[in-house]
Amino acid sequence: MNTIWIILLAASAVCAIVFGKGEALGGAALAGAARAVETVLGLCAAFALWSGVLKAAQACGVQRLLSRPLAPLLKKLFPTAFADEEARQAITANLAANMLGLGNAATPAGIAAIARMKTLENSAGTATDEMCMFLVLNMSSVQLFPATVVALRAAAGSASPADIALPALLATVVTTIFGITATWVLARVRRHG
Amino acid sequence: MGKFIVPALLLALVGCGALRGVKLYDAFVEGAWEGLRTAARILPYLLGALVAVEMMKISGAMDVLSALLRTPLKWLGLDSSLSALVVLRPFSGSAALAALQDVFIQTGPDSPAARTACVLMGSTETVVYTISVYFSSQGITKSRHTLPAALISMLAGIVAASLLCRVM
Repeated sequence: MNTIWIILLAASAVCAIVFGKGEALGGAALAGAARAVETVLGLCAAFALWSGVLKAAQACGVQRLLSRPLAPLLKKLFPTAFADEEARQAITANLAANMLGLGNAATPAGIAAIARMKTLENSAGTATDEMCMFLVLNMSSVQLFPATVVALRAAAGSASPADIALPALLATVVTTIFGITATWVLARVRRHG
Repeated sequence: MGKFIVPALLLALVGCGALRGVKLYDAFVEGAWEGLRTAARILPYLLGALVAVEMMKISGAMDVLSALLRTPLKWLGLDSSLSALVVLRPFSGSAALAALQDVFIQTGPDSPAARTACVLMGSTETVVYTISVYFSSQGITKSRHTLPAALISMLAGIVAASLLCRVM
């Protein structure tokens, strides 16, 4: 992340000089900061609400129900984390929320999962294989219905806004398969290479 | 489908809590606290990412990047109007949605390019943003192969979106 950030800032500075946009750069930086604060203020409501709901659901044991169909695959992907009740619940909650398209419900559970995995695997600042796998799965995970995109398309006056739902579902299956495979292969290549 | 998810989940939750005698409200409040703490914890990371994105946009660096991507995207079968979407997608969900709306305005919401853009949007994620929020906020600074693997998965998504929209 550090390297990427430095490259982005350096590219911005160089382009600003080349295109003569130097004086706009400071304003843009502040605008970005303001957007971050606005986004987080909006997220506060969503995070508090969904974390609350997830906690209540956990207290009920609802998640054991959700996790059952996913369990065989997850056990293979996360042998260490899946042996731990807390990590298992957080991982399942995150993936289930992602599948339902509830991105704001997914984030708090996902962060809790990473925090727990860090304790379990006793890693200081380096991502473990299971953490990498979890993040890639999270990012490429199957989404059952792309509600936001369909709503935007309907608002733009589409004749049948939902006709992209099936290709989108198939495409997320493709990204999930490629994501898991790439993570698995890279983990091995990097260990032996 | 979206119409039924929330009421169904809510009913399941309330019904289950009542049957098992769980203190739902106490659990909810405890969870809400955790959610607020999470929001506060990710703010600095999000701020850093969005400052960089805005500076990339105003300086013209983002335009340079999408111009560079135009030819490789053509090889993958994508319309050149999608290059801004592909560049912004890894960094910011809302910026990518704005780019998607631009595609709608340029080509109409039912054009092949717009449909491909929708599938792309629905099957890819804000890779860089997610890594910084999930990992950095937990003190994980070395993400190892997470980014390359996520980008490979995104590339597969681009090819799949382009192919699937031709046949469906």
